[in-house]
Amino acid sequence: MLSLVSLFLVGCTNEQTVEISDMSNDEEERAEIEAMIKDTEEVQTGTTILVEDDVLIAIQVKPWLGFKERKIEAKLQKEIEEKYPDLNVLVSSDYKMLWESQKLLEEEDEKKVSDEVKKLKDLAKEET
Amino acid sequence: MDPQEYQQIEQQNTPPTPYLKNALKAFLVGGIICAIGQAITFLYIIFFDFTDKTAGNATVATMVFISMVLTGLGLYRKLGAFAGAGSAVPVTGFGNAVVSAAIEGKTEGLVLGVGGNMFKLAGSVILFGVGSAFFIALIKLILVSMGVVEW
Amino acid sequence: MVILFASKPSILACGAVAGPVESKSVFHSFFDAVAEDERWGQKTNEQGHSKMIQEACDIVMKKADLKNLDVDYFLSGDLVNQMTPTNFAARELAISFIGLFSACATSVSSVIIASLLTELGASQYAIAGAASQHNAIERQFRYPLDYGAQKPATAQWTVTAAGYALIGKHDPKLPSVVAATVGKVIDYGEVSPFHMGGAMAPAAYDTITSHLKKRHQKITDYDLIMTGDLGKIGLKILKAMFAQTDAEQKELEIFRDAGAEFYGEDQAFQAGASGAGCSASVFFSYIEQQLKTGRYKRVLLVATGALLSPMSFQQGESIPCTAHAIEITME
Repeated sequence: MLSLVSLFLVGCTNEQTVEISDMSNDEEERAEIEAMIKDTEEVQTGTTILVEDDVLIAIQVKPWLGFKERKIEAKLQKEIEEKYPDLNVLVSSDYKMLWESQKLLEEEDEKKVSDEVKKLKDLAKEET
Repeated sequence: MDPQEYQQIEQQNTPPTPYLKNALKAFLVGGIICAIGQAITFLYIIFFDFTDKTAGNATVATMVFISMVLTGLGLYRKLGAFAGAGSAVPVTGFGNAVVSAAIEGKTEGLVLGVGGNMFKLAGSVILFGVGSAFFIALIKLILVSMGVVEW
Repeated sequence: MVILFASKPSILACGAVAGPVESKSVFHSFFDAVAEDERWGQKTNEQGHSKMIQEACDIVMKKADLKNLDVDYFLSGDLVNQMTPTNFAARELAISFIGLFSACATSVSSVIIASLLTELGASQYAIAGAASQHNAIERQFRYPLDYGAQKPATAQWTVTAAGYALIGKHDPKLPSVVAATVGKVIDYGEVSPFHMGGAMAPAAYDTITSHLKKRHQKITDYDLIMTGDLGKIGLKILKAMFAQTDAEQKELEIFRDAGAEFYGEDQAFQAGASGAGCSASVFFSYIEQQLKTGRYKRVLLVATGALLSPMSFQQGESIPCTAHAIEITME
């Protein structure tokens, strides 16, 4: 019974977890993007992969906000694109992106990360 | 004896339908089936190249396959006797309806028997499902053109 | 109007055959044969149904040491569309065939007609009875067999069984038919095919009270009044109806129901057994033997039938029912 209750309460944590990879060279960029994600209140978990000109931001929105997932995605994406027009940004609330980018955070090889990010971006465009 | 009097006697001697118990059983079994479906979705996302969007089709196909096997083995029927709506409402119930009707139609041949009878129970689901989807989309289209909601 | 058989046609021999599920029945030791395959080795359930009928009739003729040529009439019916299993069995038996439909009351209605033919002198030997096969009938009336539908506690299980009796001239050492009542169609508005007991009880009540009245008899004149397939709940309702009209407890104990007792207390069969073969297989095995051993001297066998079709139910109609009764004595 207690475990059931704690299971339900897990969804009630309001802490944000924002992680960002340190593959890119521009410190300022990194910090800025991190700040923008942190600012977005609806985001519970944000994992960012920066490599060359590609930015992949995988987010997980707070519980019960799932219905507005797409809008939050689009809003954040627009924000970042306006600030950094020459970066290829993709913000996704898809679980696959989150899972894969979590794995990529550890990855050292820049080429591998770059390929993987490109692959993930293609995957995000698939319809069926 | 007049019908009114009879109705009374009939009702007094007929066991009442245990609605609460049935609802609980349906809730639990339906929930478990959906949890299994979600687990399969996660499996597809984690171990294969599926996204949230694309894993939907694969999950449904897998669930229907499982219900097909269970129906053929005569096990889904036993689950249905226990769970009622809990096993009939999820997509596995739809699979069961189609497969059980197909199995039964075998004796009249493939075309008229299997083909003709397969959607005996599920036909309404398809018809009214597609029909209501159309009308909901229409309503949304109207509301969007009026500017009340956005896509 | 009650029919009185002055010549008292006798039940010369009986044959009862059942399917594998019925090996769980409390009456299974009284059946002549219990098959291991519910299709009797045939390709379809309907063909198996037909084979079962043939087998039961063959057993009857063997017991009476008769050949098909010796039998004058074959009277039977079943619950499948156009009664094709019975029709095909009749083709194989090659006996003059009177097909009749009273749903689950056919076991008794066929004996009534056979007894009338015997009384008239038009028949020396007539085989009468009924049969049902679970798979074929479920398919027709309800859902596909493997469909996961939930049935309420009032639902009954259609048996796979056949019961036939050879009706012939009076024999003082054998059970004899002395009177019969042909039932009216009674409909008290029950709409659920999952509550047949509730639909059929009024018909049984009407036929029984009519028979007792016209025969100037009381319930206690009988050792047993057995209905065909009211099921556990239908029997309760019937007893309540009689209790309402001041029947005493000891009188109510004379009532039994073949369907209610068929599978014993097994909950998998909910309210009990039903089907044309239910009353037929129990009356023409267990009851016949109880009469021959002298346990019962006078019985009233009341087979009940629900006269609906899958379409009538879908069209929102209620279920009209009937019950036919035969009074059998043993000297």
